[in-house]
Amino acid sequence: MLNYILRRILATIPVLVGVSIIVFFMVRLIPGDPILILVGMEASEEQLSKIRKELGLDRPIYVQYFSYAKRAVRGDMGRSIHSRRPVWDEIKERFPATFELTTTSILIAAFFGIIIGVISAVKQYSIFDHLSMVSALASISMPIFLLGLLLMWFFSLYLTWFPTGGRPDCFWCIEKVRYLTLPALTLSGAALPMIARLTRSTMLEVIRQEYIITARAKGLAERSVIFKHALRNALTPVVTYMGLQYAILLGGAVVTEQIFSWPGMGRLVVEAIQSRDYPVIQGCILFLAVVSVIMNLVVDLIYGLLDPKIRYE
Amino acid sequence: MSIRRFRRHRLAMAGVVILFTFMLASIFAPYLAPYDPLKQMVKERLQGASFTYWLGTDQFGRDILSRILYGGRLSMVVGFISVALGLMVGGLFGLIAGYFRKLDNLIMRLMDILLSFPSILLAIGVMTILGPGLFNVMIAVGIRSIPSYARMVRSTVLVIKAMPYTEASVALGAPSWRIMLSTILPNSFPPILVYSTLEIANAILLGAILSYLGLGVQPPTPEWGIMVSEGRGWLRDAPHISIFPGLAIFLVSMAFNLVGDGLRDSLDVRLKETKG
Repeated sequence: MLNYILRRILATIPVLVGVSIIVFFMVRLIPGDPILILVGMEASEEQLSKIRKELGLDRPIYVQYFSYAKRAVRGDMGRSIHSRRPVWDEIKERFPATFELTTTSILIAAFFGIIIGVISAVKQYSIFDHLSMVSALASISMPIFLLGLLLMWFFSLYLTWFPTGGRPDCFWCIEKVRYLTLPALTLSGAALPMIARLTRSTMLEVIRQEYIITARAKGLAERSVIFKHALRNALTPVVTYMGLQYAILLGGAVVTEQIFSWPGMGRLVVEAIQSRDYPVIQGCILFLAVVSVIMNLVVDLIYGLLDPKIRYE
Repeated sequence: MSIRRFRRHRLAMAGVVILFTFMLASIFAPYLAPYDPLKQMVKERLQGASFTYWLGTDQFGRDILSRILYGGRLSMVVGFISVALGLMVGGLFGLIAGYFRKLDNLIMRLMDILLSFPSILLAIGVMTILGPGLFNVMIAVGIRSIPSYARMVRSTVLVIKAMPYTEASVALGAPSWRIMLSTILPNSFPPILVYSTLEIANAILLGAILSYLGLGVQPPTPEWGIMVSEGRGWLRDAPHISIFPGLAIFLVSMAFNLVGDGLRDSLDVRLKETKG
């Protein structure tokens, strides 16, 4: 197992380096002089060359990249042009909200998705099964902002059960549940039916296996056969899928946070783009990409833990 | 045989009907649209659906039906062109990686790096570099699909390369480029067609998201994502401003998904990656 963990971690390093190279060049590819964007058009040539020297922009590009990577590893991602605060501080402030939203969403999607998937498999071709298939199809075609706006219109504006947006300051309180419900449901909207479909198809494969017939022949209760014997083995691909979904949710959070004024990183990115705050855009994209790479690594490790065959491949 | 199977696929046929309706409506928008999509009729603002304005008017008094008809053109163009772009670049990478195994590792690791960015973020990053605009949306959406095409084409190439007819071409001394173009490429067509149909649905959604976030096509252009975004502030009093264009995105995207699923079933394609 240790060998497997080490191999997976080593394989992640080139991906992280590649991601940092892309993000580093991203800002350099923006037309125009980045210094002018940083200091404004009024700066004199003398000031510009001084700042260029200070920031090391007069050095060869590979030297610049290494110094950028070294600083990024230490969490130094430069300062926001807009607020003049370190980008890392902005990220630290905003990421908990995004983490809260994405984690709640994936948990909602996993919990209901797995339950619906199991029922669909056990009651194959029933009305419930057909309905879950139709909703899966609808969910992949549904623009996330439409789902968010529909939920907001019905639950916040029409029924007035939930607030239309914002996030209370408390760490964990009932008030937060009210604020979190609609954004989390919106974000889980696409993942939930897909998890349900995946659970259904893997369950259908598993419940036809011989050991399930044996379990039934032993006279075990149906609930025990389904949940203890079948589901455990059917869940391995579902766990992997959830990991991949987490990365997608991080992207989807950009839109959801915008709809519900949820003050997370997605909103920070959009605000930064609107104010052309390049260090913040660069920092956020790098951070979220690294989080998604690490999530994939964690999933691979869990996968190895759940399925011993993977470890020895 | 495949065509007959496709025609018997009811859901896929429903998708074809929806798509044709939207495509024809977009192409003939200048003849079908009852009003000028940009014309502001201030006295008629925030009207609900009626015989005069079938889908109502927005906060500037513009006819929503006319704007949806014209907006369809942009969404379809974004869907088709960005997928074509992703297919050309990604397909070429996949073809090279699958055929010349020495380059395989390098190309596929590069693709892994691109895949590690959540697709919306990658598109946002590209839009930051390129700036807003229709053509830039197509590039940003297209770049996102490059790694998935590369992976898919590569895995198909690996399967086809091992087929006796490809080996026969090699044995006959055909040059690599000819084998790639005349043997491998035509045989990769079914999975590419299926995947592209499904990918157009995703591209339309992502294009609309970029416009919704204010990064893509800019107002007052009648574009579905912008229309939903502009109606956000009027959700309480006039939800139709956002909901109708949102439904248009949903229907077109679902139609592409239905057709893609139908093609997959009738062409018997499994979009599964082969390890190699």
